[in-house]
Amino acid sequence: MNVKQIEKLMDIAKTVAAILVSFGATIILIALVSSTPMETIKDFFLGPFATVRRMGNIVEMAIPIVFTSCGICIMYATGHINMGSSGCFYIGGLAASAVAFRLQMAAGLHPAAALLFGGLTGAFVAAIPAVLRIRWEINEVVSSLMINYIVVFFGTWILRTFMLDPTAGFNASEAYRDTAMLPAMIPGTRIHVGLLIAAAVVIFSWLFLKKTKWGYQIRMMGNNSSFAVYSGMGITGILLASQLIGGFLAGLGGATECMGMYTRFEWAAAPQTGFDGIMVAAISRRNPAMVPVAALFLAYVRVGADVISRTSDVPAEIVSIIQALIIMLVGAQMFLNRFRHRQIVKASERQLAKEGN
Amino acid sequence: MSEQDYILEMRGITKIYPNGFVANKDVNLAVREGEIHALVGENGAGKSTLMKVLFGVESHEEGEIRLKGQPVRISDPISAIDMGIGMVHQHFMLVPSLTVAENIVLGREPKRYKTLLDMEKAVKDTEELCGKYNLSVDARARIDSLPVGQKQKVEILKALYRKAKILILDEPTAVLTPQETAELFVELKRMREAGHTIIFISHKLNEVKELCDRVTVLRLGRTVGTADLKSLSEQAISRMMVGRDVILKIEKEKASPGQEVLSVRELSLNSNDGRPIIRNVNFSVRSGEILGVAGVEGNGQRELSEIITGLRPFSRGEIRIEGNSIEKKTVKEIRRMGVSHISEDRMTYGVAAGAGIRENVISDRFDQPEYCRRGFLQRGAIDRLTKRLIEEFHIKCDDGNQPVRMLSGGNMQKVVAAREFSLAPRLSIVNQPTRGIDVGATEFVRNKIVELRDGGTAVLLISADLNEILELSDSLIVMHGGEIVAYLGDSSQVTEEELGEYMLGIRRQNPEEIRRACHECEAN
Repeated sequence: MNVKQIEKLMDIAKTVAAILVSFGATIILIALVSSTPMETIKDFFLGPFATVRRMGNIVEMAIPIVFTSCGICIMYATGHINMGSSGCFYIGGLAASAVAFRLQMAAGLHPAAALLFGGLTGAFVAAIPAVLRIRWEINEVVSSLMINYIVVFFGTWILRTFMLDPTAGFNASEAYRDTAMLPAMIPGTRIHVGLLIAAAVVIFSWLFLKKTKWGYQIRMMGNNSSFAVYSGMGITGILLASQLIGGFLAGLGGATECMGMYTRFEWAAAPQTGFDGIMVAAISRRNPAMVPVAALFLAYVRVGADVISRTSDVPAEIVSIIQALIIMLVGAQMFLNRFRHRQIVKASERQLAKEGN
Repeated sequence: MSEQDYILEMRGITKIYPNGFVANKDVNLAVREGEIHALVGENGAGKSTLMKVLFGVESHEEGEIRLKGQPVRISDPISAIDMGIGMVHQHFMLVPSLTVAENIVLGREPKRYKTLLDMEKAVKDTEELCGKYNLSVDARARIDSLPVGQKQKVEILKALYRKAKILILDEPTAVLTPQETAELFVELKRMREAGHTIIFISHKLNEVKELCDRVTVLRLGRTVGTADLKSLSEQAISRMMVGRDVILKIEKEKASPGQEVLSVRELSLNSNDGRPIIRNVNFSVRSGEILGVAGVEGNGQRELSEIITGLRPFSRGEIRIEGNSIEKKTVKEIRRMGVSHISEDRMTYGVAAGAGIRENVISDRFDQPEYCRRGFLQRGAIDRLTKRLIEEFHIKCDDGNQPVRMLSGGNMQKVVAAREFSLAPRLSIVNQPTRGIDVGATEFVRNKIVELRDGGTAVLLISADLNEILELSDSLIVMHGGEIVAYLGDSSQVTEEELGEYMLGIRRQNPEEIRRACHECEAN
């Protein structure tokens, strides 16, 4: 085994160890808090698979995260962090909703138009911090975080002024036309056609990032932007393109979520899907191919927490502890570092012995 | 000799870096009190690593360090300093905005009322120290106003102020002119007389022979041996270093220059605060010749190469490549005109260290139809190219996917050269092509540059290595303070001393002589 293989293996080991440690902490916490610890622990781990409905919940919950997370993989590959995915996701849902109840279209065309419009508005929102960065060197972390608020309050104004259905009884838009909605796919669950779109997004993101010349430039820029400039790549264009695509995917995710899971637009606050996407991108080490696995895992843990909050005396917030631990440990550079260094030292010594020194 | 006589012993030191690179393997070093001990070896032989272990910057896997016969554990530089070890790094560790005295006392400041910095005492201490060792530095000068040689003295004073008995100097002469080097040697000998022990790292054997008492040679991370320098010739040391006889003579025919490829006329560059960096520079490079640019670093050479390759805009003047102006052209457009570029800063510009060799060699041609169709990179063609370049440039690696950061400096530079030399460039800007790489790779890269020239490429070679400049260039210009101060038409007729005087600005040619760098008379 050479050093490169050890590094790869250690990355996987680190993620697995992080998950095990956080599960261990969860078990201890439940044992301390719950009056029926064995029951609760069993419910937490196996509950999500107890019924078809719950398994359906896992998939439904994972779908929107896959969109934002793939977008984040593409944006982060340049080395520039954009925290605005939640805003893109929100505005994508809002824009698609407008198309869904205002316009009259054929069944196949209607959702396509809604989704496309949602994606485009997402791309537009994502472009704002990128342009601020390129034009005035404004820190994109701060500006993209702020954009989320602007987008949500702007969206709320749009909803109340132009889209509100006074008969709904709460702040919601008029009901979507039937032609616009994404049909359910699997009986007994609410899993909708968005699953297929999400799969397409994963394949697209992976191909784009790993196999095309644009993805290549994005990766080189993220690796060493001075090298990219020196080689003759135009890095402002690369940066803008990656942000636009990332924003488009987040917007598309918001649109898909609305068309698949709702009958009216009713989000009153920014959904957390953008931040879930960041978390999932971190767990999957920014590799789009691993995003579905990580997204399903996150959804599984959440459904588990949901189950125990209903069946036991442990609150659902326990899931936040699990999430925090995993993210911290996956992100920790030095976690398991000694073990890793020992492996590399051993490999190097084997290599020396083989060379006959 | 019994071990009590050694002030310092390092036994069986093994150091393996996190990337798996074995920098030291069972290395032994024994230094006597009051000697100047040379530590020599090629670049990448493990000299700096060994010293970092000694200074507590790196931890070692195996081995033992003894000071005056007692085993010690040096976990960080602070404990090294407390044990009387001082180090002058290759890259100076000074705060540029502070004065000499402030830098010297930093961390051990003399205080008034136990809280306030006693500036007067700091200056006085510094001056006393200067007097004691006969080193002349202005204690109140700001570091960023000092020339390199003076900065180095501050580094030495810093170590002495911390009561260093053992002083490590990591390639101290690499940044100095011949004249400054001579001055440093006088000072080091004086310190030896004052009872200090000095470990002198270098790969310039004439210096080692002149200055040091004994030498320890490292090769490929192992100790080759320790010997008395009185009984050892330079040839013998160099054989120990490389494991064979080295002839760093480059075989090359006399150049037969053709058409003018690069013409630089009245080029000027000012920094953002209006300070002139390049002043009215004129020269030409013709196809099939190597024009060397000599000069102490920081005299505008870096900026010159960045301007020609489009990485940096210029203030005034004109640059033409085969008759076409490069004004307002992007890096990519200039590369498309047939310009290749080896940057002096390999890690910042030359490679994407985390990416594989394959991804590094296509960065200038990935969108050519040969390697990219309908936006998709052509795996097969790229793999063939990578394989061919790895073979042609003798890049030692596992395979083309291996991240460049896992390669040695010499192999990294070969990756850069493989990319920059393989598109048959019309003009090649080659900046410090062999800095920090081993003798084998140096020889290889230099021969490739000559090969390139013989193929009709115009080569502009920028190097701070006098030997390299004299060996490789057909003719050369010398830069000082952003100006060309000399044009020397035949490099083989130039001595190092002459070059040193031009580099330091002691001597300069008259404007007519310098103007010959444009080859305009011959054209008429």
